[in-house]
Amino acid sequence: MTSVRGHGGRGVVGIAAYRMRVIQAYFVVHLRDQMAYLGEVALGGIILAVFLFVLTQLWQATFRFQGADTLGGYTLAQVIWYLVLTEAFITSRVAFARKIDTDVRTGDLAYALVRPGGYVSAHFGAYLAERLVRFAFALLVGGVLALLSVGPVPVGPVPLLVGLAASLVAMLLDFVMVLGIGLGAFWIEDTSSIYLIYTRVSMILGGLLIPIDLFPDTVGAIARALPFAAMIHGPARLVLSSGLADVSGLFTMLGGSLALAGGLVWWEYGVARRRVTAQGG
Amino acid sequence: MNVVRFTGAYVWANLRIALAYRAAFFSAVLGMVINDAIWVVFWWLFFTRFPSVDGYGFRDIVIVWSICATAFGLAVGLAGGAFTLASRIARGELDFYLVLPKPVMLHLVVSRMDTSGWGDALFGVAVFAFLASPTPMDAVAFVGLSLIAATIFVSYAIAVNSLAFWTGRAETLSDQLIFGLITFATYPEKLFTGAVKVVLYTVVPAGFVAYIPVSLLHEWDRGWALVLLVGTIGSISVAVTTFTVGLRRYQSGNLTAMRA
Repeated sequence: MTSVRGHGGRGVVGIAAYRMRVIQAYFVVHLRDQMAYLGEVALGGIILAVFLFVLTQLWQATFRFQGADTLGGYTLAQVIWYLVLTEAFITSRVAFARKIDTDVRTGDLAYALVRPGGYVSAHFGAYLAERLVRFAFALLVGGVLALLSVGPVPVGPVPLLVGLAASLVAMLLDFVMVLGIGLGAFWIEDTSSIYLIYTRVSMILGGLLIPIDLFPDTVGAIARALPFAAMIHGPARLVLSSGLADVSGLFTMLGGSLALAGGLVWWEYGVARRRVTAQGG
Repeated sequence: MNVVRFTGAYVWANLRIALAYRAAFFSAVLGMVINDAIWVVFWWLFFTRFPSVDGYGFRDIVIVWSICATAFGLAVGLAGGAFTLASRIARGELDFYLVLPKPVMLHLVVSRMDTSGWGDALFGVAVFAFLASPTPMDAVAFVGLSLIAATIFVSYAIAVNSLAFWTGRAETLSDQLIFGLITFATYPEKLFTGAVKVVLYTVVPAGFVAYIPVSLLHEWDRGWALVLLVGTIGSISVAVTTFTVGLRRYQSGNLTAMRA
């Protein structure tokens, strides 16, 4: 059993340490849960495999028809590995906005809020466990498929580690944004369509299917000005690059977006908590 | 005629239930229109950079999307129960349908409506009307071919969801197989060759859902029309057989529920 002791001290540091222990406890419990249902996670790999297979066919045909060795600075093998990395980020997403949405509409949130540890910390621990297991599994499935279809590409250890670190920050930013969407249930009936639009817009403007370097200039400039490119395209591009060019710009964009989105969602959460009403029944 | 009236009454009732929550209904429809539009934007970005891939251009992919979106929208809008069958089998929820004097499979299939499907259908029709520059004959063919493709979507959903009769839990597997069909159907046929193409005309019938209807819209061919007809009858037969054989293995659950 995982146990969480009390605040363990006063002040911000004590509360932060307590929250970390809560996140850790939820993380461990949900990690075990994910491991118990690995078959379910593996089934999710079918669609990833189908999707990567279809996209590999598309890009192979494109390279063949263009008669080019590189497009936008990418070889065919790099495009396929790029797709593996971006797909792993997208398919590992956890749609917990629906859970928050349901909690708000049914009034269960009122009960969840009085539990020790904090509502957001609990969701974050669970989110991180589920997301990391799915991400690792998607990388594994995608990596095997890419190796079989186009072979390996040269990847340096430093760009790989920094790229994975950037993906972790991107996952944190994604959590904050989805939390903000879920809390929108305090004002609108159903947030599922907003979540759907968020996922689709981030897929396109994040460069999931086409590297942003291949976008038309105007659209590429708009995409780069938004955080989605830093979340999806940025880490994948970094892993496949030979050095650490633009790494400071990538982390500045991720950090700035996280600070802005975090501030907005913190304010939204405060306003939402004051609107909580428990239903009878 | 009795079956048609029964189906119509169910669809009408489902629609009225959905419209009782107007904001949720319209946001689901709008959300799906935007979702589909994003995919067309992807293809626009792609073909802006590479105007033609193996003879395929933006207009071709727009027609593929209009047929698939309209057909899938009609399928989940009119027969959404086919897509949730696996979970209802697993929970032993078929008892209610077994004791009523109506065809069990048809009753199950029309008893649910996925409102977001109307967003797909709206998007498909609008895209075809505005981006494919159709003639009146094209429009008639589009409606007929979309209905045929919708029938194949529903048949496929019944067949893969009926796997739950054997495996117990098949929700994830059936969802993945249906998503796989949609994925293959919304990409150019020319990308696939050899054994994959055989799969796309048998186990995953993307050829019947999209490739043949799109080719018939481009150019009418009696031979391909006949192949489509045979494929449609074959899909329905596989669905009915899988469901009927599977139903003999059905076991009721101990869940007590009230239907009002």
